[in-house]
Amino acid sequence: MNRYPLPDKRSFNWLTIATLLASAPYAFYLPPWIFPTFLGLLGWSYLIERQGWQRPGRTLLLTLLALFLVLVLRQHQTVLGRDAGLSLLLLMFGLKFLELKTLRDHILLTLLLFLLILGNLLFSQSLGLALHLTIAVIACIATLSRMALPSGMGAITRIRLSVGIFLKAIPLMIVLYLLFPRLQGGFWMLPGSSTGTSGFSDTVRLGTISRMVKSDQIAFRVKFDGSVPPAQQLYWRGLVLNHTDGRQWQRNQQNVGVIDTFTPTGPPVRYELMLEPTWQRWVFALDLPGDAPGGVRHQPGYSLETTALIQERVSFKISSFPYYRTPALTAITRQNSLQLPRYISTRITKLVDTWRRDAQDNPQEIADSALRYFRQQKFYYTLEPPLLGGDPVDEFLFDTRRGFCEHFASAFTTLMRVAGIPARIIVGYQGGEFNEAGNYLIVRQQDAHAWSEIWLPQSGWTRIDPTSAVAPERIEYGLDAVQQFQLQGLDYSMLTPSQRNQALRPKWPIFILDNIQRYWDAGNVLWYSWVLDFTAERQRQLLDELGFLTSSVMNQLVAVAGSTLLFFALLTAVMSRNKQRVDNTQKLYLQYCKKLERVGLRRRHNEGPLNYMNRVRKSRPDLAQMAAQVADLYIELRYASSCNGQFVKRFKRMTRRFKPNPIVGA
Amino acid sequence: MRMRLLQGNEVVLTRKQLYMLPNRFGLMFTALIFVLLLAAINYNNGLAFGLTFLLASIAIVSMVYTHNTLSGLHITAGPQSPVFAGQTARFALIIHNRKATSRYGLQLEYEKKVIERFDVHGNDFRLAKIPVTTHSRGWVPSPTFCLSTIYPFGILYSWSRKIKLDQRYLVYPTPASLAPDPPDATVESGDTGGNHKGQDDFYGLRSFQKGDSPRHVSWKTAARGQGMYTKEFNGANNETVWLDWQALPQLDIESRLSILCRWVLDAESQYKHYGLKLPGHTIIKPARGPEHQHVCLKVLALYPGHS
Repeated sequence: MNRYPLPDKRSFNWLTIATLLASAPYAFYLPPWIFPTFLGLLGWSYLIERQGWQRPGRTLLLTLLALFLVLVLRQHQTVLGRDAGLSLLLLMFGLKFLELKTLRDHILLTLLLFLLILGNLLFSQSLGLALHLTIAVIACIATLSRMALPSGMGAITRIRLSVGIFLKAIPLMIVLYLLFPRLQGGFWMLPGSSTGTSGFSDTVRLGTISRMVKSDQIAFRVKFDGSVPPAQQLYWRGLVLNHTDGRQWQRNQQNVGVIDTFTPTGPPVRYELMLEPTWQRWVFALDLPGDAPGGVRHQPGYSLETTALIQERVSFKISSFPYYRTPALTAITRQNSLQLPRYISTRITKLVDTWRRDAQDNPQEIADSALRYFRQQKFYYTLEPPLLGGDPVDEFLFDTRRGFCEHFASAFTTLMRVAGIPARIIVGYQGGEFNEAGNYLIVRQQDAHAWSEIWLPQSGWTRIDPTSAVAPERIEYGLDAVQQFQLQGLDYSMLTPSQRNQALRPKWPIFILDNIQRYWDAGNVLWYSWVLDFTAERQRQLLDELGFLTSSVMNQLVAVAGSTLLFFALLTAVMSRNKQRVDNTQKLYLQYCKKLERVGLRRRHNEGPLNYMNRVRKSRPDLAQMAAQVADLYIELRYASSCNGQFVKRFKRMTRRFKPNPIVGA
Repeated sequence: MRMRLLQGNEVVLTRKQLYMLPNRFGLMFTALIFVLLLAAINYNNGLAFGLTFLLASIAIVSMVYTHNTLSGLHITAGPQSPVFAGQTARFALIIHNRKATSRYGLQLEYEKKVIERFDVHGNDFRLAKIPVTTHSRGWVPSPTFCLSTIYPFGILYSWSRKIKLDQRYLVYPTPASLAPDPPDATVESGDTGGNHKGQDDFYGLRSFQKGDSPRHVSWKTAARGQGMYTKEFNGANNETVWLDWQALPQLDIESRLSILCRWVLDAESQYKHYGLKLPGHTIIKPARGPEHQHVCLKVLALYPGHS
């Protein structure tokens, strides 16, 4: 007999299923031709194993390998790197499937499956993927067990065994995860490939934001140290846009490097910001952020930027000061904040002139007049604003009067600049949805917003949100609420707060869905903080809290070794507890003997079933037939190891129904 | 370190008698864990760390499973049936699982080879046989074997110390294939007739047993593929033949024993009464039947002079 068992057809099935589970996510991550090609190779190997097709020769395999190399090279210009490397790994894995012969081939492939599983994690570390890969890992270890032991163990028993071992491994895994020293990674950084971007770019055109808000993708999550500030303060500052040509707004590149200062006039709000990857650098902080956390730097206009592109979920601890005063403007900022497009229509200048006259050039009052104008002149807040032509601000102000936040913000800012008040546009997010399940705020793309800032001599830069003049519900309840009120034909300004809440209360199926979503998202955040954000620094914090004197690499390794030994000892103790139970068949037999004992036929201590049966037969001929049947079946079940369920059932029925009559020969 | 043999009527495998090491797949598995760890460190990928530690933990947990597969097994010798020298003896073992949980993937190893793979269910036992080539007659001690397993994942190999049970088995002398005819039968019951008479009356067929004379094999049925049968004759029920050592004077001891062995078998298969006369006043009175045959063959097997 061979040292190791030989693989059979069933082991091929196990391997195939495990492979499909481990590789399925690649269908979404790799270039579209890779995964179908891989499936094709698997299909081919199925035909070889099952339909007796001929195995491809070495030449054909090498040709295919060369072909794949060339194709991958053409796609990625390299064979290294995440995408190219994993594409090749997957295809080579498929080729190896074609020459599965020995047990060694099978086990090697099963072990390589774990590399494929790890590869998935380079694309995403989401909770959903982790759950899927958990199943894949269990399938892989069950396959490994099938390869090594094609014994009489059924598939269900095997899977149960694998799940059992998996569950027992979890505690040690967690301990190792927390204790194992995290080294600073990056021996070699491989270029990934950029995926789609979401969120802002550094130019805002009319319509940019109204397109963004159609997505309910999450932009970031915020966990406040104290209570969540009121909605009126939830302005998440992104980019400061100064330069306009009348149609679009851009950042001013001139005063890069100038750090603006401000004087807080109230206590700070502290929070942790968890940004989703944007492939940009913007960090969205509440007005106005204080010290920049590590990896983030200040930009002109009190905005924050990361030093590196945000390619994966990151989080920052930020303090913001909702009450502040900013100092006098520098000449260049003043100049930038008054810049106007080359052409301003006379309708605009006339309108502004009347306000200036009425307010006697008081900037605050001019701003109020503008807001009053928005409120009184039947401006309408809508997600589907009409298209605007060559002079959008003019058309919006006097003709269409239907617009989204960026229309109001850009019109207002233009008006202020015409009036000689320094003004600029801020884009970012406003509001957010509170998740009770995880006690944090979710800010989505649909919360994208644009507002204005004007410079007033008394207070410095002051936030003015012209949208709130038109659609206060947008600020108070968010964009969904605006649509809800519009759908239900309700006029927000005519409703009492309780009526508003009534109108916004979700109907039950949606309510349940909302709750599920909320818990799933909360799970995700927890997941993030323990999986993605569990850095060397957080590990140190945790170990300090747990009371490790010094969390040096050496100490941690000792702790890892110690806890592994402890775990092993505990597990051994638990698992070798004496489980010496009497099995079911024996129990039934002993009950049967007890019944006979009651009629005076006590089984002797070391009397085998046959001897006992013979004695019963002699002294009680009336029970002879029954005794013979019981003994036969018992011997069959106990010693012939034919674990037939039917037999067990029959034996059970027989012994249960056995009621010996106490009177002999009656 | 030389491993001490486990000896006794019954051997129970405990922690002290079991060893465990990763096999070559285990080394591959270890290498895999290192590769995964390097990838996790390089990409600073939390879940990759998780996967790495999960696999390491699974390997550690599976050590307990591997150990428990062998630990607590009771091994005793089974009933042994004698064979003729040169034949393969099947040394029977009983492996008893006294725990309620089944044990899968047990391996019986003999001479560094896995000779059988089997499972033993909870509270059940299993009969396993070790094929041992025999060379010479006499008592042969139990073969030295060990039990091992690679359960559950084939990455860990656990084995027991070498086991040698206190049980010997008997090997009869090799029956000579070419033997002179036995001494003339003395017909005690008064019947006349030579010793060949018994071969005249064909009685029937019985299945072939080791040691049966090739002359009596029913080659017709064997050729038809119906299996090996031995022809039986009943013509000479009352014949008595003395199988005498002295009838073979010019041969060495082993050859004489070999021929005597053949004679015993032939006489038994011809339903003769036969007795045995050996030097040193060893005389076995004539009788017939399997018991008698065994007594005769045993005497031959244990005849002194064998190196």
